[in-house]
Amino acid sequence: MNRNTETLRNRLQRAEEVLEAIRTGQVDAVVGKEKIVLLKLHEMEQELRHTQELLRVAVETGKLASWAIDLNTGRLLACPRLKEMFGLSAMNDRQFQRKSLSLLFEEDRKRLMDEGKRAVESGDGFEIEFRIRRQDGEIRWLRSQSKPVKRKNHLVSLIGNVADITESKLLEFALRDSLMEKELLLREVHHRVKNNLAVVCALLDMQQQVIEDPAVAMVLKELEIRIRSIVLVHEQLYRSQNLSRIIFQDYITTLLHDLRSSFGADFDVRCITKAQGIEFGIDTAIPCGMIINELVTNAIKHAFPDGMTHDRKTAPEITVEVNLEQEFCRIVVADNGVGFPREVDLHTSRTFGLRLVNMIGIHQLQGSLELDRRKGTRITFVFKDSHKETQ
Amino acid sequence: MIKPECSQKVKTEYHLILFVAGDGANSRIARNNLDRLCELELAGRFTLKIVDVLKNFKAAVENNILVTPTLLVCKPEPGVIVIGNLNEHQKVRTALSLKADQP
Repeated sequence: MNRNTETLRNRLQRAEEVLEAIRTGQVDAVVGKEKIVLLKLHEMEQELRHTQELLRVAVETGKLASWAIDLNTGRLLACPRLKEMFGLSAMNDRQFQRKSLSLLFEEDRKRLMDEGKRAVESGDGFEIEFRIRRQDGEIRWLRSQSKPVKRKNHLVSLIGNVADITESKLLEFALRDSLMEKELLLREVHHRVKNNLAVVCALLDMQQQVIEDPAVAMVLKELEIRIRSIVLVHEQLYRSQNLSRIIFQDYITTLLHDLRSSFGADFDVRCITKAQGIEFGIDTAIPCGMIINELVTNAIKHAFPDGMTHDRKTAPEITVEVNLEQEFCRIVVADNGVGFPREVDLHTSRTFGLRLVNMIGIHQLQGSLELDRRKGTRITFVFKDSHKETQ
Repeated sequence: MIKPECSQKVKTEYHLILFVAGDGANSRIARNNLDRLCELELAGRFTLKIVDVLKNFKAAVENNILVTPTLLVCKPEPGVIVIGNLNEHQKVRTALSLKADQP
């Protein structure tokens, strides 16, 4: 009897101890008859600890600082790392709130305030980059991302992080400067090449003036015009925004205009150019320009004897059309003149102009030439724009 | 107060068995508390066994363990049970018949 009472008392005491331990949150699990029940609190705590750990790693590795503003009180909570970024480690939150804003660049401060206001009004987050001048005089670039926090559909606070992006900003500026410098140099190179070639053209022009034999003078003139078609590419390049691409519509329009005035005929030739949206790199533009130069020169010089066209009715007209079909480029030079001479074969002709076209078109650009003699002359040149793939 | 787990004969002055549930927060705290105490006060004089009830359910039932963490003090006899995370140092010291902490 005595023994039983004692056992009972012991059990009761243990039960009380167990309850007390549970009440004070010191228990992880309860052992039942069949299984172990992990306490809910325990699981939630595990999960929370896990999330906290992930968050801590993210913040640590990202070198992020964090802050929060209570929208009711307007009070700022800043983490120690944020204060460190501003060089204000010794301050409490209140002092930091007052001082930190004054370190921002004037216009950045205004932007930050506007963004904050907008975030509160719209309920959206914001991302902003700004500069601070620390008390030791050092300028730092910071980026802050923020999100509003809602509780029961009411905005209660803004929370955000801050990253120090000074190093990457400085790198970005250095890269931009270096790129600008290179562009400037490249532009300068194109300008000089153009000027030097223009000097060559001027020399050829002067030589023409003193040569008496008109056939020789014509050879020099044609040579000058061929060089001019190259000058035009360099001129276009240093004048354009993009230093590596030539807008072909502009190029051939100018080229045809120049050719027409160089070989100033007694009759008017209408020039039509269709190359909308076509751009070439310099390695493709120069050979293409030279081919068009030859074919159009031929047309102006030979297609319209005394302004005559193939049907004797229409006005003289030369069309240059360039289009791209996947990786193939097609250049068509057509005229409504009296037609290509029967005895001349496009591929075997001994005239310098056509030999040049064959040399550049077939050997250099590995393309194919086709001649259509119906209704005047229509020469189609097709080649694979291999430079397109590498650019 | 003899538990089956205590039946193993050990030569050391103290024989302790701590029942824990995996890496639960309180189980971890209890383990740390016990480790520190053993290292500081019982160095070389104790045998400590840790039983994870999530891995060894049978041991928990056989030893009539109701919750974790629970510390069984098998030796010195007659032995006692301490329930909870062992944060109350005084309670643990009493169970181990150690002198009270110096304030």
